[in-house]
Amino acid sequence: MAAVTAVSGKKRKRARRKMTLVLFSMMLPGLVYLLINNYMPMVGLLIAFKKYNYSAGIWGSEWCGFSNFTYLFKTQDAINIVRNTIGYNLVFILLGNVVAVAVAVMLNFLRGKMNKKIYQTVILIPFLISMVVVSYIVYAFLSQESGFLNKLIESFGGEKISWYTQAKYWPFIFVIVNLWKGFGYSSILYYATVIGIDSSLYEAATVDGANRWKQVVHVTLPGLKGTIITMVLLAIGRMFYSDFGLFYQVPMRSGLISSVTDTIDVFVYKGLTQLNDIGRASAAGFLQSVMGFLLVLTANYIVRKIDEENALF
Amino acid sequence: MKKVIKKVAALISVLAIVTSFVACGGSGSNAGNASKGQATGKTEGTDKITDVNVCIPTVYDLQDAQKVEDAINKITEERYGIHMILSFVATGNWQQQSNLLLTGSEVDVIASFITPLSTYVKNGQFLALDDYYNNASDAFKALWPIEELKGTSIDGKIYAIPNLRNYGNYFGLNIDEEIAAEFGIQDGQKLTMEDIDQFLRGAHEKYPDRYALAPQGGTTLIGQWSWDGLGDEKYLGVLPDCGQTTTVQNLFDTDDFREFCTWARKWYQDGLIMQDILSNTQPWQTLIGSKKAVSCFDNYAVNKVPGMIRTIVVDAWSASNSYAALSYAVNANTKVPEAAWKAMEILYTDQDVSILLNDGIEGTHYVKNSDGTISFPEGKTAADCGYGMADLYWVTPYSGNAYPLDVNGSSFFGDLKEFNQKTMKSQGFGFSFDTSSVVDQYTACINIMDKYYGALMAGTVDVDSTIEQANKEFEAAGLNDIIAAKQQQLDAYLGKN
Repeated sequence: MAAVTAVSGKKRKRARRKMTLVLFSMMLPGLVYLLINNYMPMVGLLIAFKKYNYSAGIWGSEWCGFSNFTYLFKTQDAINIVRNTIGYNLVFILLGNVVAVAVAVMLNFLRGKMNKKIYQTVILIPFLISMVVVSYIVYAFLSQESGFLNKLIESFGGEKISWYTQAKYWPFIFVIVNLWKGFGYSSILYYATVIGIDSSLYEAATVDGANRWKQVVHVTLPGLKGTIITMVLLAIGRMFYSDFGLFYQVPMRSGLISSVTDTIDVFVYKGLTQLNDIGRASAAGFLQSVMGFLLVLTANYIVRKIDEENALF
Repeated sequence: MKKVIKKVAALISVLAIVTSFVACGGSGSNAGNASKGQATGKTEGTDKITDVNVCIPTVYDLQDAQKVEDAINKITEERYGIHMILSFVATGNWQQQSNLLLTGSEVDVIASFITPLSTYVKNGQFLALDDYYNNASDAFKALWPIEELKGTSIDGKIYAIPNLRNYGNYFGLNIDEEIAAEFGIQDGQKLTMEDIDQFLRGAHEKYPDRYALAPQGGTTLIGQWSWDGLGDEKYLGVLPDCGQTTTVQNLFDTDDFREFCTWARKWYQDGLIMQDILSNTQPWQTLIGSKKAVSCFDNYAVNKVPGMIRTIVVDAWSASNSYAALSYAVNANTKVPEAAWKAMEILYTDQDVSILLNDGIEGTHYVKNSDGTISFPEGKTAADCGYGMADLYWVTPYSGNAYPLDVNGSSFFGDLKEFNQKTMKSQGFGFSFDTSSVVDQYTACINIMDKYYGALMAGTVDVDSTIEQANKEFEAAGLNDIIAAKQQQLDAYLGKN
């Protein structure tokens, strides 16, 4: 800093402009990517307000106002699917982050490079498995005739349970599967932040007589706060979306439990593959993104009210 | 400022990690089908060869499809100046992939399959074919006289050409040959549901380690029984009694449905059906073939299954959408409509092309028998011979010019045509329901139907209480509007004909 102030104002400005130009040019590929992939397709949102005709294309199709949206509200299922989507997401966000942070902290306390590597790999494996495969792993547990759980129940003299026809079990099954599949990935994200925390802070804490638990509470967690808030805000933005694979594949498409397995995405998928109606499908997507956007704004607003430093924007 | 940059940087790094994970998971699955066309060279200029993309559903993995395509093109380029690019799409991916293909001009000739023809037409996805048909060759018109195209016309215009397939079905029980012999049941024998009940119980007692009754098509005992959905395969409003009435009814209120479900429930409760039926993924052919099951409900015409006999419970009848259920059409966005139609004619009328497309390459994918049938090469089946389309005669545009498979017999295609002529037709034959006036209700009702239909047809839930519950939900979701619209359209259709 001292060296820069010594130079005259003009020169400094020019140097800085040069620097920013270099930085901007480095950003360019990313910007182009964002523009092509994330901004240009937004024109497609128009489809949500059109009666789409394949031969006329997007511009040639007729406008139809909000009529593509009505089906989302007309049914009795509407409340149900919104409840499922938001409810599951809330639980996933809460439990998912708690478990992930806990695991990240624990990983940090592991000694030995080998150990760390092994643990990191093992907890990441479920994340890399495709949902279709996961659905069969779950099936291996829950199959009525040969499932592990039913065999277990039987060996204790209990009555076999028909998992795939009873709605009451599924909220728990979804939470367990989601946690099992997702915790490794997010805990490694957190772990990356944890190892970035200045080790002198820990040393200072030790000198002050803080035990492990106190170190976690007073050093690690405050260090993680920013990342946690970012992650949670990102998740809140996707509150109206759901993991399609989880809710569609894992219950093996069993219709009887659809009152607890239908989320907005699944409902739309099931209803619209039959009709090839992209107008309505886009309407659902449009609504989901608008709601998500509003949620992020609100959540961020609240964060800013409480603690301005950690707000996203 | 610094903080914001830090945050943005953090955000971007998170996004980068996320996208990199997404990227390694997602790619690679569908690259093969759609883009294949560009690679095979376009020979322009002198001999004017036009590329036509043809998209056909399949059940098997066809590793040798490219070889067959090359052999077909040797013929079509020389005779017609057309280069065909064949894409085979697995039936499970059909809806999604065909829909994507139809958004652009990457496909010219495509099967109308799974999605009702009326839906494709209302979406503006298909070209009207009347002019092309009127100028078609005599051979083509002889194959499909104009009156036969009523079944694939919407509002008086031809939008698709049917393929050769059974336009009707017997509904009955397939039984393992040996066990049927033990119980004295013969091929083609008529059975009542009481007979079947008795047989299943007998078989269960004698072979307790085999399921007496396997599910057809994964998770239900049979997809459909004696009701006609009037072009709507979710059966929201049906003609019961094999379509021999003209009053549209709620399927769940019909005696046909209730009776079937009641039997299914009894069999399920008595352990004649696998308890896991709703999540079953094994096809009945495998279950019966590997001696894990004894019998299975099925719908069929004159085709046979090796190792099994067929019986009849509901005599052959033809549902209203039989012609349209699988037919071939031209993409409305095609850049080469003339060539696309020409390709259609070739696929339907050129025998050499037909044999290649339907049976593959002689010696590699089939061997000829002395009686005019063909067999898969020694030790091979449709699934692993590299090009098993011979088993899928009901999928390709026109199999009648090709060789029948040994199991179906040498007179197979003649039998098939005769069967189609004789079969009793539903009163709504040729009618296809247009959902556009009741889409909101229809979307809601589909979800209710999916919830209960399979479970009821598999016998997994109590019939009376479930039907009562479903009907309550149906009423709230507006099933009555759908039925009224269907009835109105049907009356208009019947009045015109």
